[in-house]
Amino acid sequence: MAKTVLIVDDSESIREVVSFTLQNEGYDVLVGVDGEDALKFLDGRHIDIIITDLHMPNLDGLGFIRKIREIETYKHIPILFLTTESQTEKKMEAKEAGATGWIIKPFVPAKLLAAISRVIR
Amino acid sequence: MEIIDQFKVKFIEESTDNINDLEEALLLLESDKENKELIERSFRAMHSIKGGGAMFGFNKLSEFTHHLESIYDSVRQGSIPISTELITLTFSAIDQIKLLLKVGDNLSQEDLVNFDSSVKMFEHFIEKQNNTSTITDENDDYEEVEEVENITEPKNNNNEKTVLISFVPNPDLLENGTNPFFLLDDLNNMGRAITLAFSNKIPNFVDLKPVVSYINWQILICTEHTINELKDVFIFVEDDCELHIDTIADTCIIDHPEVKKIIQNAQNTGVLMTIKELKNCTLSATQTKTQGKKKLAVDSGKDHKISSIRVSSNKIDELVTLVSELVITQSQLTLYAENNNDTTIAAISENIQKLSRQLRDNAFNISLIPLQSELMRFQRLVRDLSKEQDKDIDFTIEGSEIELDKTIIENLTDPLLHILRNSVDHGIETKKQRIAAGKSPKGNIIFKAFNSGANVVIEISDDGKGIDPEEIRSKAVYQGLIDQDAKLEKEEILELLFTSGFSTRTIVTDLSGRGVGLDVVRRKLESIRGKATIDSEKGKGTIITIRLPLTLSIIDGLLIKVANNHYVLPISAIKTIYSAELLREDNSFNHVITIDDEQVPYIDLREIFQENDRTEEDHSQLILIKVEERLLGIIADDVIGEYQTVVKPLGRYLEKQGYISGASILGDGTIALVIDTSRLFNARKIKKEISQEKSTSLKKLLNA
Amino acid sequence: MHNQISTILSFKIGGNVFALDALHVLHILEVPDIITRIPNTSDFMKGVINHHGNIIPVADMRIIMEEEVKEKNKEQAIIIVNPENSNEVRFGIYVDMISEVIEIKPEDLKETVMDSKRGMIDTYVGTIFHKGTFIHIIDIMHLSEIIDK
Repeated sequence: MAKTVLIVDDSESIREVVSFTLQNEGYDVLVGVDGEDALKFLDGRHIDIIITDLHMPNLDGLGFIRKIREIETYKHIPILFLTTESQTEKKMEAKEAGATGWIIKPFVPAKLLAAISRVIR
Repeated sequence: MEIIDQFKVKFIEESTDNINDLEEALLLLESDKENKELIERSFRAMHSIKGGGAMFGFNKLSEFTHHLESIYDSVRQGSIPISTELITLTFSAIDQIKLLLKVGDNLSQEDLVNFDSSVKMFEHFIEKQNNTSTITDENDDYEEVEEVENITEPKNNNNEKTVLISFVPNPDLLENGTNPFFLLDDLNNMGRAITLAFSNKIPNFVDLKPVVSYINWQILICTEHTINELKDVFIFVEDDCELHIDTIADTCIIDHPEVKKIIQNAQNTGVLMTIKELKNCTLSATQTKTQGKKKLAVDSGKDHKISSIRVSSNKIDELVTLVSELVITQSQLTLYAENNNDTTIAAISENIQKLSRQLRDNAFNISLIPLQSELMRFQRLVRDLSKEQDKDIDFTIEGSEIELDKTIIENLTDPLLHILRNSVDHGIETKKQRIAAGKSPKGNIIFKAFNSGANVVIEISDDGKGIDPEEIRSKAVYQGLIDQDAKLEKEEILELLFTSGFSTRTIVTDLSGRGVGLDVVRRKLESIRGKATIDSEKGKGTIITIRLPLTLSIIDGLLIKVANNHYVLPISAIKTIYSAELLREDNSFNHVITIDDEQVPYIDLREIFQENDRTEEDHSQLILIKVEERLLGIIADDVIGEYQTVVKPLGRYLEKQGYISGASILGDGTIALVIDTSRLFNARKIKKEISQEKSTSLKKLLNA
Repeated sequence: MHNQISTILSFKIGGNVFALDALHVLHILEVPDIITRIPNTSDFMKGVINHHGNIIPVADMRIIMEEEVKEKNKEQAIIIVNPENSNEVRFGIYVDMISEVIEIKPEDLKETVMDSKRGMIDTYVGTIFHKGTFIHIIDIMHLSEIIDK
């Protein structure tokens, strides 16, 4: 069965690149334009991994993760940050919020896929 | 990378939006410097440009925006305040960003110099700020991004050392979705590593819980990365594990026979390797994390729900074309049903007609875009110019939600920028002058758009020094545009500003440039069937009013016939249709006819369109048109009826001809030409001159 | 650039044979009953036609080449071209007769020498000698400029 990935990013071009790359690899892709928008997908359906941006309007990446971790179904779902931030401090914050790992932008498709397949097999 | 290339175009569009958003936020910030939401918005826009830039091969753009973003990151944290200086610096940076977005990484020598000097300006700014506050070295910060990005590439400098990592996950490690293999893979990417798994804690299969971690790890790695970088790998798990990272040796020793022996032994016995074993000195206890826990301000952001999607304008043009086709085909069907007295088809046709009308209205609606999209540039212009000239100007915009056809908006921007520039340069006085004139030192420019019937009206008014009609008059006399003793109303004098002869260089300086290029503005507006008028009161201010059609592609028209051709006149321009009997000799003279005691000039379209002269047998009808308060009679052969029509462009090759603004396809597939009524008034002027000069070469003049 | 022309469409205007790069030819049409004249345009601008809902201007090549304008007949045709490969910029040319599509080799292409210089076109891509006839290849961009004036 195809794995389902939820992508959350306020940048359309990033969303498209990520979805394109993942769909090409046979993933099912759900797309949210910001944290708040993406919450609508967390309705109990099966999602294998969430990839989210950090800086977004309405509900930013950290807030989004905190919300996810409050939902029983998604308590243990892997969440990767896709971000240009590389500072330790930022990573710590993300981690505290409940993130599983992070991918630094810019990324090449291979790197993105590798990062995902490391978390879900 | 070819996948990435496909998205470049999208990135450019998106960044243009981000830039607009940033400019808007900055303008608002200027009067509300503490507004956190606006700061967040600015930061986010920069952040997106930087991130996407690096993604899509705009490395220079990304690098540049990074500098800017860093400053705004400090602003968010509260260590740098928003100042007018910073906003001005940011605006100039935005211009640089626009350029980089356009040229990508292919900078010319000149661009490079500008690039460097902009970066210098940032550095200078940061330095200055550093005197009062502390922020991190931005350059180093950026290098870090590169480092992480190039994580798999070995470094040139020979700093390889051996590190022992002991990683003992807590049983609940797996609960936040961590897969330990992910971490080990990352380590493997950082150097040559030997990984040992100690699995003696694994219970019997029946007791095994899938979400519980039972394995301990030790990794011996030869790497050039620092301890901190290695630690970063575990950053997401360090609370859920016991982690020790220690330098064993300053060189790579994992191939050393003694070390191999230790590894072998550990594997066999299941007992962890000790540092003591591996090196002759002990190490200090593991450091605990030292990070300051700064709470990120919750990003409330602007309330911006995605309620629209981006569609390429080509697709919309295509849709509009197709829908127009459908409308035409449908009218052919109606014609067929009528001609064949087929009631069934007539009924069906009627339904299709309803549907296709709705479809057409919808399609046209899609091609309308709000004026808002261009307003940022206006605000920028007014702001920049007023700063430059040290004028204090309140720029108010009303009606930014008004929608217009995309083609109209595209052609509208330049004239509007021109008018606004005039308002700032020549309308609004300096603070001193204003005070001396008994006005508030702060000038006002109001941009107001509103719907008026089938038109959109845009008014640009200022409360500046206005225009002195006497001054214009004397200049016009000097220029030989009008006679010394010509009697002109104020309106007519101001109208002179739009004539091309008026705005020449010599006049510019004398008149402080007021009216410069207004002829160009008018011409440009005419190309989108718009019309500009000006009113001004000396000492009080000036108002320029622009009337525009809602859309260029559809009009309610009156179908008429002249010689063998069909023409369409916009219904909005038509006042009355008279029988040609009015044109009796006792009632008309020298192309002027008396209607209801009013003298109205008239023209014969046969003459204007260079058709054969009208003979006794030809029908003729007089149509009175009214454009911008001016009346004109036109003589056509026949009036066929009202007709709602899709106007198609004539294309580049026919742009330069005189009176036709487009063409429309009739139900039978033939073409009717759409007359540009405002240009007919020009024909009348020419007509006048001809009768005065008794010239016969009408054609020559028309082509001039 | 011109050396890249490999296929041409030839046609007659008066007694001469001309050709255009076939890559720029969109359609060949019979001359329709009505060509709507546009007032106040050059003599060679025959008018506009409705081609699948698009308004296409038609230039009369016979006037451009200063040849006799014969009565409409079945052999005459309109060739619709797009000089810039864009749908925005299209025009039709009115010719006396369509001849044929010819594959040409770069070495066949010779410099054009017109016996007597006629008409508004003064530069050609070149001339080929084909089946006993000289065929002058018109530069589509040059033609476009003439019509644009």
